[in-house]
Amino acid sequence: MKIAVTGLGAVSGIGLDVDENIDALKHKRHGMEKPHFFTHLDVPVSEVKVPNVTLLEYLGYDYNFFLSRTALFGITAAREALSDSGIDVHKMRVGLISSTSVGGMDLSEEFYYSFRENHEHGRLRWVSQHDCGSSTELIAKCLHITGFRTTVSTACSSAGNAIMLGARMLKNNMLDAVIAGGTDALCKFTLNGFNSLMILDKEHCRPFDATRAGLNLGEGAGYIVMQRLDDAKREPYCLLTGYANANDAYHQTGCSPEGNGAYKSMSEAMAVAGLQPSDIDYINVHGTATPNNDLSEATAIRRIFGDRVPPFSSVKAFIGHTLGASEGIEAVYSALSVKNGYIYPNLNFKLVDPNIGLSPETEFAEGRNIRNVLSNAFGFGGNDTSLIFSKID
Amino acid sequence: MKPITITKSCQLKADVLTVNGCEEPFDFKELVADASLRRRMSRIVKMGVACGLKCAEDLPSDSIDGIVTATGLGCLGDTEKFMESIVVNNERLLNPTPFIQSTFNTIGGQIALLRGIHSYNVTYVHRGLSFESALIDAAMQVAEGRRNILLGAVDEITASSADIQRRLGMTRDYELGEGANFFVLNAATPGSNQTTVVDIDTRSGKLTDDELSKLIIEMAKRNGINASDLCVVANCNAATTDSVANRLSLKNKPLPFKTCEYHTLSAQALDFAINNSTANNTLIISDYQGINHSLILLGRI
Repeated sequence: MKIAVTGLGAVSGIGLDVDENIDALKHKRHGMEKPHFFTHLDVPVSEVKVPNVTLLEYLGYDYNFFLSRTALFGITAAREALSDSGIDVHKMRVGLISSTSVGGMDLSEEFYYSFRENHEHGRLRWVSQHDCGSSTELIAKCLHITGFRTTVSTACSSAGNAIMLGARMLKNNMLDAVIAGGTDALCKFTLNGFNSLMILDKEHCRPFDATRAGLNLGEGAGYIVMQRLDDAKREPYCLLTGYANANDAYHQTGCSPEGNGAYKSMSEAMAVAGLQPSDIDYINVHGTATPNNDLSEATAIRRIFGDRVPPFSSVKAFIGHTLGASEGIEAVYSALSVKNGYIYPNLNFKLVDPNIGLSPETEFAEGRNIRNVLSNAFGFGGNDTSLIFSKID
Repeated sequence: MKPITITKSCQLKADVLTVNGCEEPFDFKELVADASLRRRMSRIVKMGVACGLKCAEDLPSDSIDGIVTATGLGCLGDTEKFMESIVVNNERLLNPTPFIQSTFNTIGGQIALLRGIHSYNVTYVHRGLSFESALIDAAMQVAEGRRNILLGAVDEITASSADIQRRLGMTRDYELGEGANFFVLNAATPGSNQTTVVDIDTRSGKLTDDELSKLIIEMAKRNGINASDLCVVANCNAATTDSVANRLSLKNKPLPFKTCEYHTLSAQALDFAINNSTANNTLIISDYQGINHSLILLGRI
C-alpha cells in the first residue's frame, strides 16, 4: 500500500508559508537574528518574524483569541497543509498527529513569575495551555477535525515520529487522511536549556564545517497531509515510502561515535521502502552543527553509503534547530525536493572537517532527478528517526 | 489475525510495586547500580524507570522491539526546577540536568539506555488520551510483526501542579493521583490467565451517556460480542456507570475503579482489569475531566 503526500504547510524564521520558505532557501536568505524577547543570552536564533497579533490577523482570527505561540504556528502551518490537500474533513476520517517539545511554555513562563511568589497568584489562562496536548486540540478545533488526534513528544525527532505514526495508521486503515508534523515556539526555557548544555554557537551555525561550534535554535511549524495513494484526489507531491525510529542507547543527550542509532534508523527506513543505498539521491541531514551530531551522523552515513555518499545538506543555518517542529518543516522541504528536484544549500560551509571528509551541497539547485530523499531527525534520549520521500513511479 | 497479548503488568504506586497484581519487594539500587545516575534522577524518572525495568527484567534486550511510553504532563518536578533556576540565577551558569530530564521521553530513553535497547522508542503526551495513544501504537506494532513491546505510562503530582489543577477546578470531583504502569505486549498465544487487547476507541470533547452507550454497542458489534455480556471496569464517574449499565442492560455489575484522577490513570485501570476481571470480555470505560473518553476492549479465553 502506497502513502501519498498530498498537502504541505510550513512556517519558520524564513517565511510564513511554503512558498516564502522555498523562496528564501533559493535566495539564501536565512532567519538568524538576536532574540526579540527578554533574555541575557547573546545568541542568534531564527524566530518567526511576526508577533502573535499579526499572525492572528493573517489567519483571520480575532486578536483576542488567546493562543500560545506554539498553537498559533501549528494552526498556521496545519491549515495551509490541509487547504493545499483539498480534503474535506467532514467527508472522511481525518486524523491530526502533532508534535511539540515545549507546548505552551511561552505562556507558562509568564505565569510562573507571579506563581512562584505565591501559588494563589498568576492568571490561570496563562498556564492552561501548558500541556503539549493543548496545542494539538487547538489546531483540531480551528481545522474542524473531530476524529483521532494525538501528540508526540520525543524531543528533536518528534515530528518525524508523528509522520511515521500517521503513515502506519493509514496503512492499518484506521484513518483515511492524516495531518502530521510538529510545532514549537522559542522560549526562555529552551534557549537556557540548550545554553546550559553548552551546545549553542554564539555565531551563525556552520553545519558540517570544520569550525562548527554548536547549533542555533529556531521556531516554527511544519505539517504534511498523507493519504493512501488510491484515495488521493489531487496529484500528490511524492510518496512516503520509508520510515524508522531507532535508539542510540548511548547517552541521554549525546550521540555515539559510531552513530549506531542513526545507522539503524536510516538502514531500517531503507528496508521499509525496499531501497538500496544507491537509490538515495539526496539526504536532508539532521546536521545541527554541534561537533558531536555532525560527526556521528556523518559516520553513520559513511557506514551505509561507503565512498558513494549522495548529495546532502542541512537547512539548520537557515531556520535553526526548530526541535519539535524540525522534521515537520524539513519533511515539507524534502517532499518538494522530490517533486521539483530541489537541492538546498548548506549555508556557512567552507572548510572540510578532516574527521568527516565530506562536503555538503552549498548551492541551490532545481530540476535534478531526485528519486528518493532520505531525511533525518535525531533527538535527546538517543531518539533517531529517518523518513524517505520518493517519486511516484 | 494474531492476538495482541499482555503477558506482564507492573505497577508502582505509593512506593508499592505489584507484578501481575501481586506485591513484590524491589531495591532501586539493584535496578540502577550507578549511584551518581540514581542521584540525578528525579522522583518521576525513578518511578518510571523502576517500574519499566521490573516489567522488562525477564526479557533479553534484543527481544524488545519497542518502548512506547505516555505521560500527561511529563517530568514536572524537573521542569519547575529548571524554570526556577532561570529566574534565580538570571539565566547564568545553570545546571543542565533538570533541563535534560524535563524532556517528555526521558523515561523511555533511560530504559533504552540502561538496558541497551536500540529499537523503536516513542512517547505520547496527549492529555487524558496519552496512554490510549501509546496503547494504539503498541498494539499496531505487535500487529505489524514486532515481538515484545514495552508499554508504559507515568505521571507525578508536584506541589505546584496540585495547586494549579485545584485552582483550575480540576480536582472538584476527584483528588489528584499519580503512578507508573508498564506492560509487555506481544503476539504470544494467550494462556488461560492472560488478557488480550481487542479494540480501542478514543473521543475528545463532551460525550453524553447516550452517545457513549452507542459507541460501546458499535464496538461490541464489530467484535462479535453482545454488549450486555461485557464486564465493565468503570474508570468514570458513578452516574455515567449506572446510566451505561442500564442502557446496555449489563448482566454483570460494573467494577468501580475510579477514586482519583490524572492524565494516565487509564493505565492503572488496565492493570486493575487484567488482575481483577475474569470475564471473557472486559471493557474499560475511561473519562478524563469530561473532555477525553476512551474504550479499551479486552479479551480472555
